[in-house]
Amino acid sequence: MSTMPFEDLESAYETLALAIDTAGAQREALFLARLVLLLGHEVGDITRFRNAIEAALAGLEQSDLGVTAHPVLQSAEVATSTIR
Amino acid sequence: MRPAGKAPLDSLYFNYPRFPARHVPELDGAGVQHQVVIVGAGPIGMTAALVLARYGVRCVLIDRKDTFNDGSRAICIARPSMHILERAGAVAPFVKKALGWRFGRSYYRGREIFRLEMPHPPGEKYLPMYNLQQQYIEQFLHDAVCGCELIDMRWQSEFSGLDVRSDGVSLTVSSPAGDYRLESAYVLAADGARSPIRSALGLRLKGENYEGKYVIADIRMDHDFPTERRAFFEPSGNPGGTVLIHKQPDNIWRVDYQLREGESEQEALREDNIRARVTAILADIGHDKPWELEWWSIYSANTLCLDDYRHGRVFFIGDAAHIVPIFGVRGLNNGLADADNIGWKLGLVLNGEAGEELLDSYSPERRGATLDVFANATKSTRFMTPPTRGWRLAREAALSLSLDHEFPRELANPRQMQPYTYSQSPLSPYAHRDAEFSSGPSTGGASPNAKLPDGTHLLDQAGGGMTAILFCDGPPRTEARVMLDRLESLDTRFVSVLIGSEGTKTPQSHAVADRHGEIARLFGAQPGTLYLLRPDLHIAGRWKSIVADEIIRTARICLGKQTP
Repeated sequence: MSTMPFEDLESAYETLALAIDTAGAQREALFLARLVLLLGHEVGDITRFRNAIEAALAGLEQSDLGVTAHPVLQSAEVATSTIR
Repeated sequence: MRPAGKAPLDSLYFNYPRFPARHVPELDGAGVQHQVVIVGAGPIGMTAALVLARYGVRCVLIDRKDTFNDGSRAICIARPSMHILERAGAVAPFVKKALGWRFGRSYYRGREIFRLEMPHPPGEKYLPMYNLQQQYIEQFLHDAVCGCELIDMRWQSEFSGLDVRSDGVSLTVSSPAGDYRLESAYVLAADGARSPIRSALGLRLKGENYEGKYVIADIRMDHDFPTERRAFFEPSGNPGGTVLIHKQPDNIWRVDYQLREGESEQEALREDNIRARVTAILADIGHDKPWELEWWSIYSANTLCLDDYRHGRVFFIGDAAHIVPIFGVRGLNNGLADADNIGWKLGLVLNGEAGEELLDSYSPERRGATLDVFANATKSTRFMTPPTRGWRLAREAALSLSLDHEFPRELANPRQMQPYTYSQSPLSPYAHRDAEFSSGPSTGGASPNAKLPDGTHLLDQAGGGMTAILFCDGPPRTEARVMLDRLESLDTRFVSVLIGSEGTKTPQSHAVADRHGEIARLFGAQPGTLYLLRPDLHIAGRWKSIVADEIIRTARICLGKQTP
């Protein structure tokens, strides 16, 4: 699997954040779904695509938008209580 | 349903005949032993009767109604079904009346995103698809049934009970002329989605129901557009629901539209609501001239089937055995394949040409084909009626990307022409021979066709029993001749087609020239290659070069002379 140099990853991170804001709360989900299909097509490998989907889903259990917005509260205990 | 003031059979374009109940010998106490009784004279039951008649087998065909289907339901006839109708001796009026097609268009928010093009190899005799109202389908089949003295057609004759024994089946029948018993060796249950025979035997369909609902409406309008399948996703004429439009003969158009989530079915089916929705949809496709409402109904997708299509001496065919979603146009076509499959098998068995064991292959083959259809139809259904937020979002993402990108467009393909193959069939013990071929049709698949120089087609030569297609570079060698003789002594209906041979023509053997090697290329064949076709023109086996024992064994299994 290829990895990005850190500077590029940071740039990707910033681009994503700005794009989510550009899409707006109403279209955020559609935007992300489109992004995933486009990137999946670029990757061209269903195993890597599935692995990425699984990793993203698995990570959801340790994270929540409400928690990550407040870094101070990022303890496992609090995170567990915010799972829907 | 029909517009206010119209009777159920009051059609804009179709005159329903009414068939009387007949006085039959059983009413006078005659104890007639029948070979086959078919319950249900819809397209599937009538086709089964015609296939049996092709093998010289008599049947009694009963139906509780006094006429054809009230309103059109199934309208798409696929290429393999045309071959079935041809061999049943009924195809001519279909070719004349039906509208053949091979293209489709899918739109998203008014813009075309996908062009459907169904494969149409130059050697094929029929187009991939034909549109024809179900009433005409039934009328044309009924005309053939009436012209066949082997079929005892009894309208207004309702099945009311049965007793399945190891040596036969007794049915009770109610008709205005009186009630009576029918004794038969076998029964074909072609009595539809709500099959009374299925209920009487305590059998149940199992599978999935899908939530999304579609209204299907037939209208008459003067609308200039070729015969293509049009699918509209997120159209402004039906916000929040997909629309499908098909052309049928007599200026009749089928408009299917999806109801919005949570929309009341009862409200949606009111005539004024139907008219308002159709008007909006037509405005969207640029039709603002008058139109007339013919008939409408409601539909939701199901993938349901019986665990076993056979119950002793009763065989379930068509909707009685399986319910499939409309989006793959597989209800009618799958049912016709059932009728053909049980028809040739039962025909050969009842003639004493094949052993009774052959009937054991009906359910695994046809149920296997149904499960195959389910796999494709489930994909189409999830696209046509996304069941959850996840499916809706993924579809919206794919459709919206399709506006500017090529790669997701194929997701909007309705997958209508995935031909079924009997790949796991007990009748194909040497499917592993496929590995010797780098091209050509696989074992279990339907045989491709080829156009011959005299304007006829390769498959016109096929017989009612097994057919061998042997590729030669001259007269067949001794080994091949010996084997063809063995097949001929095994099967009185056997036909061999010798491709590239200059041999003389006999009733059992046809020589076909292949000067440019086109047929050999189509089959991935070299001199010595043999394809063995079943009576339904599916490939029982193929051998790059003759392996006599395997070929003979395959033929024996297909004729029920040997256990798989």
